[in-house]
Amino acid sequence: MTEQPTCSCGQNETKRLIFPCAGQSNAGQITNLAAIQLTEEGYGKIVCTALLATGNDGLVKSAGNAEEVVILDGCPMSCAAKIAECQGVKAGQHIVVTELGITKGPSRSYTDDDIENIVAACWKGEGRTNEPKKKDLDNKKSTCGCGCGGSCE
Amino acid sequence: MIPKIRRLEIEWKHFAVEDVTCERCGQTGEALRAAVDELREEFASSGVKINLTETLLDKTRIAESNEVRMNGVLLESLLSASVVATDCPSCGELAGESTCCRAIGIGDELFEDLPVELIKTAAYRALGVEPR
Repeated sequence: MTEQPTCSCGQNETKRLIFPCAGQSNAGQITNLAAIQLTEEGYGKIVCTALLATGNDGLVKSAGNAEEVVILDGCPMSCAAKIAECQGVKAGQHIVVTELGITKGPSRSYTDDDIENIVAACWKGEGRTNEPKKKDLDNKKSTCGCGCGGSCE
Repeated sequence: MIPKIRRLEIEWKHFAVEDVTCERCGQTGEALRAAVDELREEFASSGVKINLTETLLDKTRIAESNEVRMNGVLLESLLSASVVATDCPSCGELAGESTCCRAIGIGDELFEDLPVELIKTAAYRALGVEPR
């Protein structure tokens, strides 16, 4: 009987899954390193975007059951996000490295600060696509003109 | 207890005019810095990285002033607290008009500025650990 190949990337995890585009450019490599660091810091678990692209049933199911799917793309080509979309995986957070002040190529070099910036942005939830409803203060009509939303005492 | 979460990103937004802020936010700022110092010391051996980011707001965003997030979660959510706005004469002087600012309500207590212990309690919850 042939053994089913498995991957240790966390395809069976159900918490927060992190898909880096892991592209060849500096920006792509930063996504991979940031995803590894985020995993080590307990933010979630890095998983293989390439495996997702194959339509792996286990990973697609895990992503569907995850508390949150985080997609890290190096550039606006958004390959990882497109792969996720093709597999019906909905992103809770989508970070694009080049939108956070990091220039893509031509050099493949990057700094620790570049990785740190992306990691911090994830922890802060800067790429949240489903931001919780704005706080009640914003929804109330202001009567006093002070910006409090009318709830001041 | 060693936290599984190894990072705490604290974001604090407050109204300011040319780097001058109101009494309420000034006190919160001092408490935040003190809390961060204490938390860094407490979690130094666990390798938890703790960062504090301060964002200055202009007059158009006063409603957000004194808002604190920890790892992207609002402090009031971490503490199951309510948010109200109360008159802030100090901000009023800076803004040149009557102004109200955020305050946190927990039970019968109202916190206009955030004390160190409250900030630390929220931090422990964000890190998923019991208070020390």
